[in-house]
Amino acid sequence: MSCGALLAQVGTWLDYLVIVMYLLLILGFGSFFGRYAKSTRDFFFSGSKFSWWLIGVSLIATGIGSHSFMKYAQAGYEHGLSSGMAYMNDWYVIPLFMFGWLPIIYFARVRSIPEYFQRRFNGAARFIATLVILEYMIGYIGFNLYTLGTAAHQVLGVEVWQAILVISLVSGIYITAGGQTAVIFTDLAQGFMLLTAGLLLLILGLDHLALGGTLLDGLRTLWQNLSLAERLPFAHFNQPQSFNFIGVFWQDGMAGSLMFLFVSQGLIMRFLATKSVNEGRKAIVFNTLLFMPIGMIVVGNAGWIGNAMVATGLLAAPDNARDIFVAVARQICQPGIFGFVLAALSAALMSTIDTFTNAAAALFVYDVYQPYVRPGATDRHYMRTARLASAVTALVGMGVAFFFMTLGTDMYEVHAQFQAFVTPPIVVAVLLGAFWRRFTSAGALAAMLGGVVCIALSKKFPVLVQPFAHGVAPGADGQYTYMTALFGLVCAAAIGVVVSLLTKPKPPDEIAGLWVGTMDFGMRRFKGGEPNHEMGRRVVAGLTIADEGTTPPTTATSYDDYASGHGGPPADPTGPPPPEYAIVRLCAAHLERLKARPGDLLYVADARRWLGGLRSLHCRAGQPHERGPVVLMAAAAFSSGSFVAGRAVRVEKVL
Amino acid sequence: MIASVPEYWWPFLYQYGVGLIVFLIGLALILGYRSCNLTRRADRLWFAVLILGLLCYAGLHFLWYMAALYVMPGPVGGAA
Repeated sequence: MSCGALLAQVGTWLDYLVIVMYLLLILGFGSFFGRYAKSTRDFFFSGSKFSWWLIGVSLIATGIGSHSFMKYAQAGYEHGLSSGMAYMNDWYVIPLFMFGWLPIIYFARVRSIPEYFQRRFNGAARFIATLVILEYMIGYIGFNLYTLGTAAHQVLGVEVWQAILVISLVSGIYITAGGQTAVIFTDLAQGFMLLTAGLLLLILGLDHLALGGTLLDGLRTLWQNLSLAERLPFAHFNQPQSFNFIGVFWQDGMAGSLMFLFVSQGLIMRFLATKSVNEGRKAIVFNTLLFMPIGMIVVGNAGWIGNAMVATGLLAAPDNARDIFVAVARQICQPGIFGFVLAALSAALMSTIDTFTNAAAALFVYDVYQPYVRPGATDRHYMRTARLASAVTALVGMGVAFFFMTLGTDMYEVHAQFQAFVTPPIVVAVLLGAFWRRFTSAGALAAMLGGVVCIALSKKFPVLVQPFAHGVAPGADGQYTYMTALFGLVCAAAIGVVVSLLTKPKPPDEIAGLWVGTMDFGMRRFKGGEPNHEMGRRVVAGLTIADEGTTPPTTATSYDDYASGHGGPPADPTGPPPPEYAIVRLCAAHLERLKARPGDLLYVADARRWLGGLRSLHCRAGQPHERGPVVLMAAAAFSSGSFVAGRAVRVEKVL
Repeated sequence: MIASVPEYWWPFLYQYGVGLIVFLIGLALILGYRSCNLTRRADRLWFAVLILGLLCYAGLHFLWYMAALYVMPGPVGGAA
């Protein structure tokens, strides 16, 4: 078949077929996990039982939206290899996350960022955080849907609204059915898919550039067509105004990374779905060190290839640089493969919006419905509300996407300006709350409101940002688009610190476990006893159902049960009492290998590692038994962990 | 002094200058408040990972610069 004939088929039946098959498969795959959502804790946090690799890969899928391919391919085409520098400047804030924020929210059993604001500050702070985060998430869903709809229109000729409708329905259905577990497993599949598609584009592109030679020849052509500035990992320090190092450093590297790790409800829920804090640390390390650099190549390479193709005359320069991804994909992909790339684009979108949809539903249930509309209801009632909230969120996101359709502004600018407005103040409130005991409720409110006011003022009087601009020139509209993030961070922090020093902080016992200096207390409360830090080794053993000395778990984790059973949140403002874990018994040799003692917190999972903890349960170690190398567990606990009879289990000590 | 450094190195120096300060503040906070307790073996391992991660990124960016400057210099297209 000639090249011309092949191109004629691009965007025809074969590509449609691949896309439809992908959508059906992901719909079925996601909906399958509905059976594992037995409580709100399962629906929103997957029972906190998953392994790091499941979370790590799903995180990269969440982080890459459909707009990422368009945005970074455009940057790669215009500026070269520095297009993805935002993917490689997160490491500086990782210590604060790994040993600060992650253990705080995990051990305090925080279910949402606004809930943290309530417990650390007060109800007014929670209210503001709820509004800001909900607005951010809904806007993000709509923005991603609009981007994909635009791409689908350009490539397949379908109407923008049709693409938005189909994607919203598919993702809405499986999120409503399966909750967080469906989100994590579909994101895992979609993560592999978009990584494969991105790397496939790179290989096909290099092959195209090689003109019949090897991939190395293609790489040589790509490299030789880049100027020195385009070869470097960073853009020019402060030029041009629209894309420079310093703007990306403060907007994406600092404000964006802090927002992503500390304030993004979807990300927080993902980390709360890990089986332990240690597992969350593994997930963030692998995500940042390995998957992010790969992601940078995946999202940017179409732009790099396009740059070389245009320079060598293999591709006509597109009228608009933002179309480079589609132009390159169209040129180098055969029918079917092109459909796969488009399906990957959908995967990038769905893996982002499913996370945000589930997170927005959690926010609605935990921060609006439960405290204000229907306190004290049963978990079963909240579970129904959670499913309904997921469906409604999907519909609202779709409506916002239709709104973006009529906006007609440059997509990168809209996204950047939105982030610049809301991100810095709320990031400052979380950071100071988590790392400064003296930070007060009044300080938090002042930082959030004052920060937004300052940013609004800087839009009216851009000269205010000039001292922070590092020599970046203002745009044609007189605004310092990206440097506003630094200005906002400094203003919000200054206001928060000054107001805190002038007001009275909460007593230490009211914020115990909610800031970094009280992690030992947090661990003790989480475990319900003194933590055991001795490092042991895993145990693999048979699982036997037995009643002697074993107990079942409570039906759900404590906070939900406590709140619903006591007509609202617990009186203790520092958090709920520890849950009643099931008690399991191991032989003395296994306890010794684990370095565990009776009363320690254990994690029992199906020994098949590829399940990632899907069949697992947190338990407490009981007295050692003398029935040999088996784990004794009550029948109710066996059922609660979805274990399979006859299958071996893996036991680890958590604390 | 910074003016004598070629302009294309400024982002690298800023990234690993200001970025390093942020990183060190983070380390100081978690060590100072004993959230990262180096008397625990697991925390020592994670602390090493944090340091190695920074070195890994700095090394990667440095090698990238070296490749950009010295591997097949003399670009065909674009403006330096």
